[in-house]
Amino acid sequence: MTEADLIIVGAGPAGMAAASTAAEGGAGVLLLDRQSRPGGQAFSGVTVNGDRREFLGKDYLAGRILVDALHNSNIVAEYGASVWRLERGARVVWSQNDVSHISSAPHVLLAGGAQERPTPFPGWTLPGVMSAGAAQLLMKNAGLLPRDAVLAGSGPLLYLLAAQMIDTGARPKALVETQTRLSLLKASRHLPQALLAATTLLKGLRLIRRIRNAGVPGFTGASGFRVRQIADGDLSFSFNARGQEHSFTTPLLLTHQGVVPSTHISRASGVDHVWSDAQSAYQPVTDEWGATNVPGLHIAGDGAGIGGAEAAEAAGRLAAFDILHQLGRLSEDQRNRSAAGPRSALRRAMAIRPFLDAAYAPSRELSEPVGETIVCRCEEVSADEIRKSLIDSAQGPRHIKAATRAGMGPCQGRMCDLTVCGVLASCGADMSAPRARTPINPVRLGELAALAPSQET
Amino acid sequence: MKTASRFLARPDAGSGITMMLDGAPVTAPPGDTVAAAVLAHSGAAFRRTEKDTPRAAYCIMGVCLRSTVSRTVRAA
Amino acid sequence: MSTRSPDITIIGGGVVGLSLAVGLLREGRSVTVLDGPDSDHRASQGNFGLVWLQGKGVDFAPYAHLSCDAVAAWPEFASLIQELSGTDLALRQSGGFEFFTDAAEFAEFAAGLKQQQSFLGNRFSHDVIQGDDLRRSHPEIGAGVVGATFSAQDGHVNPLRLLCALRRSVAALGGEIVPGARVTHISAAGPGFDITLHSGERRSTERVVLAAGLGSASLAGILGFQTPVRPQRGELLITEKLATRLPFLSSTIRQVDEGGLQVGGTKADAGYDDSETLDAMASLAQHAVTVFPALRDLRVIRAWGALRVMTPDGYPVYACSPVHPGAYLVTCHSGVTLAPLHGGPLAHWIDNSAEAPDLEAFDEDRFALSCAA
Repeated sequence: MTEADLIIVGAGPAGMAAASTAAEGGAGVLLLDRQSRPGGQAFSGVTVNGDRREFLGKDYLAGRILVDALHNSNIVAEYGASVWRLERGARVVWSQNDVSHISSAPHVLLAGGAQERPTPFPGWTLPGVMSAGAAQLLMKNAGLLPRDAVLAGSGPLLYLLAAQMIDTGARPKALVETQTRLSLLKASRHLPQALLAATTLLKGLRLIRRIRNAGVPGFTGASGFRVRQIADGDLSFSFNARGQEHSFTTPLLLTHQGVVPSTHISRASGVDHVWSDAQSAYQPVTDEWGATNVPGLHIAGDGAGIGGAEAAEAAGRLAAFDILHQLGRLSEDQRNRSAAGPRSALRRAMAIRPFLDAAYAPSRELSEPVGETIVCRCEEVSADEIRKSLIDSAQGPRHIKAATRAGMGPCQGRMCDLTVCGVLASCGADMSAPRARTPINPVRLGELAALAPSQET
Repeated sequence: MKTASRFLARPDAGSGITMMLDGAPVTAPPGDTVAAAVLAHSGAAFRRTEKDTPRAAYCIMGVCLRSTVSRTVRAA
Repeated sequence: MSTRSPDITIIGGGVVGLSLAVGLLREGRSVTVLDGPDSDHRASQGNFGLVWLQGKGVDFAPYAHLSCDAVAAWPEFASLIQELSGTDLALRQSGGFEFFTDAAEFAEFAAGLKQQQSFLGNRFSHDVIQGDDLRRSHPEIGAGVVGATFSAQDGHVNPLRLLCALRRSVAALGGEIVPGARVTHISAAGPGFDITLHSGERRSTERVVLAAGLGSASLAGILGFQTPVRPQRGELLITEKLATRLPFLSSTIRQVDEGGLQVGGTKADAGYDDSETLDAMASLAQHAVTVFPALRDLRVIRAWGALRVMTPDGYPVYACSPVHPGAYLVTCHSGVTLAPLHGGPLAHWIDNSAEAPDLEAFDEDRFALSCAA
């Protein structure tokens, strides 16, 4: 058993910033991350990419500063370490190289980040349809550049990805966006506030201009997504825009609808969650320091509500200061004074969120699918089957799961919970946050058996 | 029939670790995940579901738990 | 609302309540099932799906007979439900093992089966197999297994599909299921009862059957029942799907028809806490790899806890209210095994017709007697 003052789950911007802040404050930190290197999704592979993938941009390479700060004797970092359970009393169960360990500490910080929102439409399970985030990770970690790809959906990540593809000579074949002029108009009331994050706003505008200048065909207000397999593994992607049907043949369709907090671990750990209308997602309930209703458990970064890397870094520091205070290493006054810088950074970074959330709100068609569209990829449950089980007097997420098996596969609902929720909401049914259970990640029976009491001697 | 990769050929292709994919040798740089190595060489389905529909990698970040292959290739 | 009040209202939309509804509807009664909110405890959504005879009623002959009748009636009940609902229940009664890793437990269970055999005579068959003999016929069984018992009468169903199919069957037979209906009060109203829901809605009914599992506790007293039901937590694991079929069925390890392996069988008094615990998860996994070492590399994708509905002696209670004629209490923890009984002969008992089975041994007055003694 490893003992520490603080166990941090996730070495992305929030987790890295929290680790170095807590360590500098004298706390012993155990930092656990599933990937083989620090960085999280935002800075995935930043330690090895160095200057060889400059197209990833200055913001990305800045992640190295956070990584470098992890060189602190108070930090023990374990990579390839997949946390699969939090125990009451702040014990963390994690697996590394097929062996599970139990570590305990008075404080745990969840910094598990975000996942992409599912984008169900007819054909989205076909080989060649991937998430935009997946393509970005393959660029960052493997130098794989999408070939003649079509980008579809909504959200700033699509612009970043498209611009990076253009810079590397892998120009997208088209950028097909679902947001409408109306949603942009509605979002514009948040623009005055967003001006606090003017640099981010300007970066976004520059990206859009670069994509336009590169001559990438662009569509907005697109609907009716459908994709089918044609010869040689190519896909035919069709949609409606500007009052007519369009179709592209492509080997790779990259979809995106924004990101949502990864709440599997927080839901399985007894943290209260609420539905956020603004972000159309479940969020854990936290205070201004990231503390939750579970004693000893903080959450920081996108896992507590989407804000992006800069917001996550600031939130990570705030949580660390609060934990240092609770550990008796900072007085309340010291904590509050230390928090001033990160808090204003957080405010700046979050200023643009209401605008982005409104401008790139998920398309209703992709959130509340109908017909044969697969909702649960693991168990291959269609939107129709979910709706039919509602008619068979199912009432809420648990009933739906028991009746259809949606959410019972290896991903345990990560890819369908929000869609099931959308379908339920469209039918006026209960959409409370579904319960999550452990193990958070699959674990081998033999590995689990080794934790049995009689094996401990 | 071989389905072409959905990604551009990498400049460093041809050096690294050689492994067998569907009976043919393919090369991947050290540190590549198996999923990345396979995607670099083939656009074909990774598997077929119980309902016999083809699937390949989707999210690459361990969310759908179907696109990560947990073994990392290391140089011998 | 101008709906006529039903002959019978069943409080509880789990396997027990829905089975009762099927039986009563088939007798021509009009039936309403009040099902609670999605967040209720619902043993019917967390159970193991065994249709099991071994060890049932080893010290209580009436329960041994009841279980034996129910197991024998399962094939016919399954085809009825499958026909009504269009849902395959995946009933397999191909025999099942109880595996033991502890010699004393093995001996004690085998002695219990001998007793059960003495109650049931030739209606029950079982084998007691020593570990080495077992491994000769099943070489995949691990060296840590000291022995097993086997009965060719044991089997399993897909419990979630059973629940879903029963719901569809009730609808197909013209019954009404009211979802999200939490009952807050029941009062006798001349002949019949008035039922008040949490929503404020009131419903009247001629007769009422309380089959709400743990939810029965708060309503039983109002109707003059005394049985205290208590929760007993059981924990289960489910693995990723296995392409091949497991070569055996046991009361603790079974392969669901979709392919995943379920491991279960823990018992704990933890109040109403249905969390999964690390100790139980680890001990279930240890049991699985001890029995069948080749399962070592199979990955667990979910663990969960569910609450069994236990009466003081663990046996079912079938009771008519001594205070309010027309009110019945039905509670048990083997609702899947007993479903054919609940969906058949029990309707006659509620109707008090000539064909009614003799269920006197299951009246709740047995607890009053044991308290007095």
